[in-house]
Amino acid sequence: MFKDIAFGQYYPTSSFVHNLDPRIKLLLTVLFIVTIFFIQTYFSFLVTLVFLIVVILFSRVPVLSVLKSVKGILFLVLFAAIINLFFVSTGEVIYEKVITDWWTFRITWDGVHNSIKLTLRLIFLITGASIISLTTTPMRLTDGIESLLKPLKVIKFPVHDIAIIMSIALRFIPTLLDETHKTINAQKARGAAFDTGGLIKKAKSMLPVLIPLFVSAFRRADELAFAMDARCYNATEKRTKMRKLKLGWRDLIATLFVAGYATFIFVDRYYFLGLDHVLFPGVF
Amino acid sequence: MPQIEVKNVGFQYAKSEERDSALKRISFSIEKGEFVSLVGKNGCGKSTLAKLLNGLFEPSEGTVLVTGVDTSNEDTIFEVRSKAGMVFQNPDNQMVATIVEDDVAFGPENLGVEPSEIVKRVDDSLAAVGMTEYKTATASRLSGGQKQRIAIAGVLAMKPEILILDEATSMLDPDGREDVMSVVKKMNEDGITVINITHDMSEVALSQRVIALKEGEIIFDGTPKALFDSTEILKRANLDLPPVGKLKRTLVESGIKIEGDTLDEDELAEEIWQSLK
Ligand SMILES: Nc1ncnc2c1ncn2[C@@H]1O[C@H](COP(=O)(O)OP(=O)(O)O)[C@@H](O)[C@H]1O
Ligand SMILES: [Mg+2]
Repeated sequence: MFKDIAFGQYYPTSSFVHNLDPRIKLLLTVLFIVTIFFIQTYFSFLVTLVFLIVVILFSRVPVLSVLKSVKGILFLVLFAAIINLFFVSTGEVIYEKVITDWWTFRITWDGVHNSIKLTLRLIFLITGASIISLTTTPMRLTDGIESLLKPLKVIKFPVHDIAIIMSIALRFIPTLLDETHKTINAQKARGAAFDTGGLIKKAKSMLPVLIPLFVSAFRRADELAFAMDARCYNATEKRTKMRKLKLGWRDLIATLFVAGYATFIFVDRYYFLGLDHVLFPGVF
Repeated sequence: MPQIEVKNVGFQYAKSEERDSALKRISFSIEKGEFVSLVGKNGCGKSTLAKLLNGLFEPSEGTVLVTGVDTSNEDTIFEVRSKAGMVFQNPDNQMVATIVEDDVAFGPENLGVEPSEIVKRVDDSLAAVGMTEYKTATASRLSGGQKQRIAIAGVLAMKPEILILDEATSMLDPDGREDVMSVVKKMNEDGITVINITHDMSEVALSQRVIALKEGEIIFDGTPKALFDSTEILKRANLDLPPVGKLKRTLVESGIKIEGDTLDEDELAEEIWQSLK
């Protein structure tokens, strides 16, 4: 049940994308995600697809690993799409049926387009987020976040502590998932049933899994604290980093590339290029 | 001057009564380069002692000196901890980073070592434990024995003089155990003092000296051979002979004469062969 979670699963190799500065990757990912929500036309979606394929090629990550993280949220995406389909009631009507006098079930072309676009947006969003987590070690990622948040130190925001908490959380996700899996199997072996019964019964049956998991998480935290102390952990300025963050020519190229892509999407939205009519004549 | 000096050290977890002490006024010292095993029943105070040796705990009474530095002194605590590195029992609960090399770098980063020097130390430490090829691997996917070797590399990267292992092999399979112990032995041959807490008598047989604890007191301090020869102390400390020792004892009891006092399998085989000729 937890096997498909690919988030935080770094794919170790060396590539153009792997070697980018994590700060640049974070900023560009944010830019990309914002941009996705400005996409209006199918042509722009096509451009985004090509953009992502190029990025994946330059990251040397197998497409399968990326698709795996998309698969993880497929259910959510479909759910959102179906809701959209039923609740958008503007535009040309495709199908209509009066259910009661205050509600008419109606599917419209606007609803269909909205659903398709929402689905594509979510899939692209997850793809973008998984590319950064596949190409950046959690340590580099949190180093990047720490560095970007540095200005907040002025208002006494504990930037370093937040960063170390995040990297440890990422480190323990696979360990705790693994343990959950083992506990579920152990309870199953004793005859526990997790898949039957109503919602309340199901929730109750998770208790014998959650309680041992919490107990063990606290024990782990206690031991980890000793292990960190034993290795001289301190949150002072004296600490150094194995890898200093340094901008290079790659970061410039990547920024220009993503900025170019984003510019295209914005231009297509606000100065409607009308390419959908050329591309899909008859439909629009 | 001995490398580690424990003088009249007592330790209580809570402000409890004297008789509830986890350690009761114990004293001993360890010289540089020794390989010491620390044995005893569960709850006899081994882990408590280990944590006192690198300043994770402060003694309730008495003093602990590591290379002459008092572990109770707040100002020099990082010096003590970097000199006396520690590997714990559960490999999963002592990794800080997801990727192997980041984890090994954690100690030197904390000590404020220069980045270029950290890179060098990480490479050297991984090579020393034979894990170079896993440098960029995800630590959670490694085997228990590999994880413990990474933990040792993390300690080595701090350039320690002492390595303390608190039941570091107890959660490992036999292969993992053997890999870890051979790394530890190599460290010791390179001059690092080793203090190994264990229940495994074949690991005890590898060391030069054993300290046995019982209810917070030292009941034995001597060579493994002397310990294995003393049925009374073995019984008091709830210990067993290593397999080789058991075999030898059974052979002697059934009238076969074994000359030497080896605890090594091959040497014992040789001696049995000699006595049969
Ligand atoms: N965190 C703690 N709080 C209170 N008592 C403890 C704690 N840890 C250990 N003890 C007690 O201290 C004694 C020694 O424990 P420990 O050093 O862990 O033994 P060992 O490692 O030899 O099994 C035991 O009696 C144990 O119950
Ligand atoms: Mg213990």
